[in-house]
Amino acid sequence: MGEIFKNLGMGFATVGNLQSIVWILVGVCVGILGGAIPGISPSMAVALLLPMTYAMSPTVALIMLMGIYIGANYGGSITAVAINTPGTPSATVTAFDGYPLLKKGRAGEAMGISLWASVFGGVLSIFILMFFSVPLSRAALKFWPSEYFALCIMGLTTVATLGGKNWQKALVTCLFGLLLNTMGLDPTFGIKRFTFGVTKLFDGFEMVPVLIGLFALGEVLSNLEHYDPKATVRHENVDYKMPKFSYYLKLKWSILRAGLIGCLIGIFPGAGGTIASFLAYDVEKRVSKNPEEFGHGAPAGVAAAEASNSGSVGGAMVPMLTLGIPGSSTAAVLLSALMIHNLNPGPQLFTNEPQLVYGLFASMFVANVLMGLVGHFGAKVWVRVGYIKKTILYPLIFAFAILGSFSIKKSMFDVCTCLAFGVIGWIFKKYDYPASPIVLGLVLGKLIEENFVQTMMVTGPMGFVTRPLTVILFLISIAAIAYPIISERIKKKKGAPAKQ
Amino acid sequence: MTVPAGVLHFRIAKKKGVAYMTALSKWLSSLSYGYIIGGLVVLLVAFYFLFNVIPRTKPVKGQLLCVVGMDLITLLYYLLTFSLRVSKMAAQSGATPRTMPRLWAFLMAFASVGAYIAILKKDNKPDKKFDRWVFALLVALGSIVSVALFQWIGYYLSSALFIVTVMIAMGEKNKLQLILTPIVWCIFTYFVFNKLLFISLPVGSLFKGLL
Repeated sequence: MGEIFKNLGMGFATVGNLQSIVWILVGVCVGILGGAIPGISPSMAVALLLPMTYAMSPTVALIMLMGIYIGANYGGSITAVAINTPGTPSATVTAFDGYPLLKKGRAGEAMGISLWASVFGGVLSIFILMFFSVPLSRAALKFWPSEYFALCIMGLTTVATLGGKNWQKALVTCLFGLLLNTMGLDPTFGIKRFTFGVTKLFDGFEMVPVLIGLFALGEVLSNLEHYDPKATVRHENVDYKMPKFSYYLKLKWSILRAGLIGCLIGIFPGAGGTIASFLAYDVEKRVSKNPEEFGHGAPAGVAAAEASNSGSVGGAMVPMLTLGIPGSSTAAVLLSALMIHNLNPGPQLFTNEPQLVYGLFASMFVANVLMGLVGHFGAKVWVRVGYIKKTILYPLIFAFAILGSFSIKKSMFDVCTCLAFGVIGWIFKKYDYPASPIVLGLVLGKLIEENFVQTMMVTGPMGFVTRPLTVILFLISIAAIAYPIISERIKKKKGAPAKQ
Repeated sequence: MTVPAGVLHFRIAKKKGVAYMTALSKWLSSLSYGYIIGGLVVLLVAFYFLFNVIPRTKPVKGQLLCVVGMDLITLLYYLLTFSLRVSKMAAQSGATPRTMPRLWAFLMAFASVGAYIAILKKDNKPDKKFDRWVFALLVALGSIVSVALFQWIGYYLSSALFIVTVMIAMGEKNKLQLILTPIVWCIFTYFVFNKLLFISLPVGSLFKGLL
């Protein structure tokens, strides 16, 4: 325990300089800005800003991107309260009670609760992240390649949760991502695979254009398709003055409960903030003395939604940092950011780059504090962000996406890759194919192949069945795949007599 | 020890099959990617018309085409694995450069059967109708033109033109916004990329002489 705090001190020393704090602040502001604009998800905001980090040191790049992630998760609640339009999917639950509170003339209360619940939920999740990830990374260091292979397969099974009702489609897209990952030089033997004579494909697809295409362009193309020039946004003229700090103490247990739920849910790869906020809201409603208030402006409802949403950020970082398995789609983008800066995500990160890891933890504390200040003093400004005209917003996002993919290598090929994946993302969105599993496949594919080949070379195929932990991990993976199939059948069986 | 005739026939057939596959694979890998993309598009169009005439597949043809597209690429990758070089060491270890693509292709075959069943189920939602898809596609194509113009008129002018064009196409009439948005954008990108991140953006051959 003492060692963790000692290392955290080192982390604070790493980020305790003006440059780092300015970049965290930039990240938080960009994140809130992105989150507050409906249509920009945290993963999209992080993906769009990823090319800008090329010229930065890995630590500065990571802490800025982390600031965006944290800021965007809160930013989504601003428009959820102000115009009943969640800026991010995970802020949907915030709108349930946030907007009714605004309608009752308590907009400042709603904004204040969502802000401070986010801050405290976020801080709570950092403690859990530290206490979980350090021992987990130590255990993971002892993993054999077969166990790592099984772990990656387990990570892939999260597509069952990423896909939700469309888990079959998610599975197909994940495998497609894995297959696309095999393009380029084979990681062990250096044989060219599926490059079609294109030298730029020797290293496979560049991750940044793929991420920008799938998460940013796909979304914008979809929005452009459904763009209605006549649609207008209703402006609510309300007072956003936040209550005094003592007011929030009344909600301390709600924030604590929801923050813990959010963090624990976030740890499970694929679960993410949306599931966490729905679950925490439900728990809060059940334990409340006035459950009838929920949905009509219950402050505890807003607190639960936001604390759990922010709590999931720290949770999602646990599998990403310790095992190299992303806990959410934004974590998948962050994982790519690590790879772009030549860092190997996984347990070695804690031993090879302790300054970066603890610097990242420290930056999360700083980001939450800055978010509290920026959110408190700039509430009125952030609310206006939601009113930005689409005629300005979409061309700018498009231009930024193109610039981002072009600036990496100044290559037209990267721009075409970005556009191609943008079109894929758009089509996938149209036909309810989740895009995150493709990224999961692209990110984990190389790791899977390396560990598979190593196991085969060292122990042969028996290596996959002789190590108990490998078998356990495989069994968990099978259960994760079987769960949605079985639960769907049970639901149908239950539904059939009810219909009769 | 004599080998049973059935096994012998199977072995010969397998050898012949592998030889055919290798020949097909070599032919495919000799093609340029333009032909391959063209071939995939032709096949997808053929599937579109096929799904359009079957009443059960008509309302979900878009969803089906997505899986078909992925399956066609998977099939292509699988066929291409036959021409991949395998070293002696790799062959001895049992894990060659062909192993992973084949494993994913094999799993893909199972997963896509599941996806087809799920899509064709009666309770599955039909395809969403396309709205202003031509407009969205034109914006995407416009961005390619904009990037192609980087080397002649430079990034700043090209992106400014792109932004104004899309704004007008989206119905923006406010002249001040039409002028200010690209100007602010150019100033922002210049300071962030050129001055802060030291990433120089192309100024274009047309203006190079002026600088």
